[in-house]
Amino acid sequence: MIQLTSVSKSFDKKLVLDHIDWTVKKGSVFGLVGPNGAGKSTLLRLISGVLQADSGTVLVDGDIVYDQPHIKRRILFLADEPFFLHQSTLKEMKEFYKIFYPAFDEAVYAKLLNNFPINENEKINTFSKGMKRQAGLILALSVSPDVLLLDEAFDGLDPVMRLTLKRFISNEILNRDMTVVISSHNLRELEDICDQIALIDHNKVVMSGDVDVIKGDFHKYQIGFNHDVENSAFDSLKPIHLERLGNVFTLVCKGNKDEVKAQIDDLQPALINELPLNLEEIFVYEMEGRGYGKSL
Amino acid sequence: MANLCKIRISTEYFRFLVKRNVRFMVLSTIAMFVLYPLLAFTEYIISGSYGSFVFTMGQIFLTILLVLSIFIVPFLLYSYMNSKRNLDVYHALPIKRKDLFVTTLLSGFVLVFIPFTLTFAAGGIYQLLVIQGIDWVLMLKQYFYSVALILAIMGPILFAMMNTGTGVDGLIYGIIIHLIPGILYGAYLVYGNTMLLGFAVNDPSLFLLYASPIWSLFELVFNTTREYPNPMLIAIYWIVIGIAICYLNLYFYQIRKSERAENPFTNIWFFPIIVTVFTLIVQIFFYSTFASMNQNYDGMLRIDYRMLIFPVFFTFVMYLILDVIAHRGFKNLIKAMGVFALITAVSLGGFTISASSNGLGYVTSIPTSSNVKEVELSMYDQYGLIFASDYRYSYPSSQSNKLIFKDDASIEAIIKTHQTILDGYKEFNYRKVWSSQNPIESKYPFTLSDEYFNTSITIKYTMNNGSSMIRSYSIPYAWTYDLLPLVASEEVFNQKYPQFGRLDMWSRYRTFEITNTLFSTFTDSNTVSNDSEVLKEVAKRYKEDYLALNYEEIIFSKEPILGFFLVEPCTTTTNCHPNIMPITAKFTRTLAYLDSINVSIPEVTLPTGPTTIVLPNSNSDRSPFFMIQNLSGIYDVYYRMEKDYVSSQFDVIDVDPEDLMPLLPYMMNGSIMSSAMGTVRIRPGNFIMESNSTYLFFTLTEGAADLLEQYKSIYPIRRVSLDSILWND
Repeated sequence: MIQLTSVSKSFDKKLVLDHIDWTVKKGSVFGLVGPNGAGKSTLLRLISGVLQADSGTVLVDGDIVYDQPHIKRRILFLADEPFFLHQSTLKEMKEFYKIFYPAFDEAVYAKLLNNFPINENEKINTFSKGMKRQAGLILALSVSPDVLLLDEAFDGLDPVMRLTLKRFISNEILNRDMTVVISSHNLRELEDICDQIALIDHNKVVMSGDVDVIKGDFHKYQIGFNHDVENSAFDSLKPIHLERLGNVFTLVCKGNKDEVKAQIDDLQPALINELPLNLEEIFVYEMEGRGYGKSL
Repeated sequence: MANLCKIRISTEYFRFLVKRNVRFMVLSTIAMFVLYPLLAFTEYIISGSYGSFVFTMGQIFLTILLVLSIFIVPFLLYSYMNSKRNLDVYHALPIKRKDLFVTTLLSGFVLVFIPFTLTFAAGGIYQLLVIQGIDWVLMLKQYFYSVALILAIMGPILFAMMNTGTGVDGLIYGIIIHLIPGILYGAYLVYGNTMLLGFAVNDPSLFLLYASPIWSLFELVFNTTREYPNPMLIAIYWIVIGIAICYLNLYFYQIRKSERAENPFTNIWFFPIIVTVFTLIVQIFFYSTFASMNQNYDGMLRIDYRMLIFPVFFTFVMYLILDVIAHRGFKNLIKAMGVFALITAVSLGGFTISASSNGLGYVTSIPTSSNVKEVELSMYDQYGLIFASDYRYSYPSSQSNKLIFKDDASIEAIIKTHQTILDGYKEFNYRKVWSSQNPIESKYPFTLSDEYFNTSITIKYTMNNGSSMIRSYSIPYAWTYDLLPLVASEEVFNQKYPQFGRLDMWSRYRTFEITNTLFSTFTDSNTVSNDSEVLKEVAKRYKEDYLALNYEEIIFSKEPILGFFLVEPCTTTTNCHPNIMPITAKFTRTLAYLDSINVSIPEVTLPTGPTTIVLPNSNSDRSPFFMIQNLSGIYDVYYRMEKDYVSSQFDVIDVDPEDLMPLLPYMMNGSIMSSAMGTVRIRPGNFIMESNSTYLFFTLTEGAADLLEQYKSIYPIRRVSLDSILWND
């Protein structure tokens, strides 16, 4: 289990994370979303022990992570731009990781290598961006970590590779109870793989929980009226998104579905349609509601 | 320090790093081989022989490459610190940061160590095989010194890397940190030599030996004749310093903020501190250099500020360049100008205050005798009054031109002389350049021909608390008068007559004879004794007799010479140092002892041919030769240097042997006699003079005046040149 308690982190005078309290259950796949600069990567770096929190504690299975090799041995952090030693091959990188991660699984490495079109004896600096990312993922998964931290890990992968990796990760979770935290802007992908999700904004975790629960908390309706209705008529619903086209309104609300539906019914609409809402839309509407990107 | 004990080297990672950098080791080994053993072999192919010079050159190249590789390796191994992306991986690795740092450092040491060791061993063995008489112990020491300093040289570069976030900044500031001791010491020397009267340093390179590892490396390896301080201790000192710097680097590594990587500086205090210190030092260096170019500066102000315009502009440009590099642009330019103005105000203010206060009292300070434990004195003594003449410096190295005085009277005399010097300079506002055109009031009660000319003197005080104070001056000889009491000291005796004063120096005595005043034939000398105990007793008594005299009785003695000891001790089979020591009636203990062992001064045998006597010139009633310091030849014959005497002819007469006898009671040697009536020149019979002089010289006291007048009427007066008198007739 990953547990952050009142964690704060500043870079020089800029506050990046402000008293974060956040828990990730063992065996879960947690998606980390948030606008650029929200602090997602910083959060992952704190969990991986790259950075030390200014205040608060970062625990993995009850132990402090920072500068503690016995815990870090069970964690692998794959940054958005994977690192490879200068002029190295994948085989050399394997040797590098094997030094530090005794659980490095040669069988997994071989299996993954078979699934990716990569020559382990070729210099990595000759690889394309996607191939480098594949190489990074091969190494990360071969380490067989208990906690896998992926920062924008699937960006740059083609759909087939993405699917392969997702399957592999799902199997690992099932077989080894691996905990995965993935930060990404691609919410559709997170929706496919993550069972939990957290939204970071303005230095805080503003939303965190089970994907289905979060999705069940947001509702999108298209409502039509035979008579003129003012926008203010929806004030009691506190919509996080409201669009109007003539007397047809599209609104996104947050809360108990039945209560929302009952309030809409009280307005006596001529037409009421519940529209599907995916995670990306929830993220966009939620961020809009928080004023992000509204000026454009 | 307890943290150090907890460090665990990751042997697997260590092996991994070494293996990954084998290419670097191969390349550096090849480069070192080409410039050391192969260079010698190339020389052999060309000339057909081996010379030790080419091996020495090879060693110099090898050491330069060693330093170069020490500079490169940190950037090879620690470059990941300059990339946030790389740090994400390295600092996420399950290894403690201190273990990672030390493991990497150890592998860095090995990357430098292996190529150097292979090449040094190959070159050294090659040299031992082809060059005769190579000191292999010295070679082993040179190897040890080189290896001992690796960490100390690497440390400052790593220190710069720990505080900077890019390779370029790390390199620039690594070089700057290595340059700081050299420029600081240069500034100190130039400033002292330019601005401070009496400025002197004990050992010009001593500071750098302890402050600059690169300087120390070359000094220890190539200055093999250095006797002080102990090179082995210096090497150990640098090992300790190297470890200490690396420990400091470990601290900075652990607190280094990953997020600041790729920024010029990871420590916000690093740039201001280093660059401020560096700029201040460079400014002082250039102020002093440019001030020294202005030889006509006024004695009161001493600084011509126009001379400082260029140094200020130069350092301004230097500071701005460093600032622009540090801030990657001109956005900080205004602030930089302000900071530079502040630095310049401090340096100029300090420079002005220091100059106007005579180095904050450095120039005018003199210790009190109660605080002084001992004084080391060295000077160029033209007249050999305190220091024996130059040619005697061929004595063994322990016989140097430095004397150490520990008694209160001698210390007082030196402090008094020091005060005389400062009083003398005060008239010239403590200007360093003393003008020989200015009149100097001489305290000497006689005319020394050279007294207006400069002589150098260095005084080093060692205080009771162990500290030292050293001053060096160029002064008119006349200012050294107060040193004359030192002549009667044991230190001067030992230096003047080491044959009797320093018995510990000699392994054997080749000659120990006694002769009469003239010793003109072989029969005129008697062997005193072959018994070393007798020699020791004679030496002891002679010394006691000498020390019982006061300096005036020595310098201005009018006692006729009764005879001489001829003593020639040796340090080795062939390295012998003869000397002649006068005996007068004042040496009562010596004469009594000689009498007790039945050794007497042989009767005078008159020379077979005529003896030349130099007379006063027609326009004077005094001899032009006023002092025969040691009877040992022309180097100890002092004559008045006025142009008339040197260029003109001298009046001489050649007296018969029997007429020499009446003059014996008036023949003097070893003292100043400005009233000398004449000079007797004798061809010695049985003693090879150390200065290879053909003649011996005596001055004649006033008592000989009547006889000389008589002889002038008997013998024809010849006119001869000075060279004829000194060298040949």
